[in-house]
Amino acid sequence: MTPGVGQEVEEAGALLVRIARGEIRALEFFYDAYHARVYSFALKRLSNTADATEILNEVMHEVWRSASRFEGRSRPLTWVLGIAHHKVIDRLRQRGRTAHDELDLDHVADESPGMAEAMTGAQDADRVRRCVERLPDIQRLMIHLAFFDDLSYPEISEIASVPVGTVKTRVFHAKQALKRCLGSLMSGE
Amino acid sequence: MKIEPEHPEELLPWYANDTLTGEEMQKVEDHLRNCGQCRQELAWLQQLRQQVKGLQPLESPGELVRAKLLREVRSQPRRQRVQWWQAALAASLAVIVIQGAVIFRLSGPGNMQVAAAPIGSLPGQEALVRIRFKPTATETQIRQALRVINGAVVDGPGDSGVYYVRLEGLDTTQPFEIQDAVQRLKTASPVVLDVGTELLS
Repeated sequence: MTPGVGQEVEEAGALLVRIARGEIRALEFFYDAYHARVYSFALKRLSNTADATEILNEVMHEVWRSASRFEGRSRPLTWVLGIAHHKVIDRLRQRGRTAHDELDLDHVADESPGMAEAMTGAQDADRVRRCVERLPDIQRLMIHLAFFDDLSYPEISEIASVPVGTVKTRVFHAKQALKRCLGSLMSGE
Repeated sequence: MKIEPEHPEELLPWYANDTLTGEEMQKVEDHLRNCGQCRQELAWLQQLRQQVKGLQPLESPGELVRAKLLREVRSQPRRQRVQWWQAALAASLAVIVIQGAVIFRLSGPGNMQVAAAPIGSLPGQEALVRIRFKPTATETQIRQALRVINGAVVDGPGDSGVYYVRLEGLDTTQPFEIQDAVQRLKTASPVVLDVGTELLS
């Protein structure tokens, strides 16, 4: 049986306390529990496995250094993905891209996609994958956090350091883009 | 003219991933009862969520990064995580101890010897044993030595070759228990160069 969210939070919180005391063994357990989600998070934003690998390493070093700053006000997953988010932003800046490049995507006008085609398209895993991959980085990340990690919008807001309204808007536009993409794949056949 | 209720479209993804609570959840459920369009939208979101969850998990370079991380962390000097108030408290206690010693010396018998008390941890502190092994010590010998004191390595060896070891199942607030473990280690293991204790706050 998979542990519930409450148990996961309690265990990870206890690990962070031990990490703050300098226990390397606790860092190992924490790494094992969260490395896949941190890596996946970074890869969704950066679309580059080498960069995502470096981010994973940097995030875990930050956990080692800063575990004592975890105050238990959020879930450990939210906290660690928040660290990852800031590392990713730094990396994007190094690449000459900024978060502002992506903000404009929130204001793109949406055409009304055909719901019937979108419904049929969503039943096919391969089409969904192709459409998710075509999303802009920030929208792909939002879909990932909402539907892969099942995070609430306040949690995503905390991770991405944006207002909750922005999270809702980005997911809304990602959803519309997916509908359009699935619809066009269906009508193109 | 009948006014159409506003569709809670921005909330539906969070209803689909089951993270809405309270009034927002109630608002969506009330709306869904009377809105076929939103029920259809919800069905699509649930389908999408299932597909996203089923996407091939991204292969994390787990073991490689893990090994690198641990190697780097172990090679860093051990951190003393002492808060400012703990440092201030320690300084205050040190002053009191020194003053006490001076007063005792001034007022007590001139030739009295005061034995140095062995280290013991206070509540909130952890007493660790600091061990340096001979460079020629094998892993088996180190493991044997640790078994003598039922010790678990919590850090090291850094550049200086020092291991920090926790004494499992021992009440480290009892100074003589630590002293006894250190003595046993010195006696039993031929590969121990030196042993000390350290308080970690």
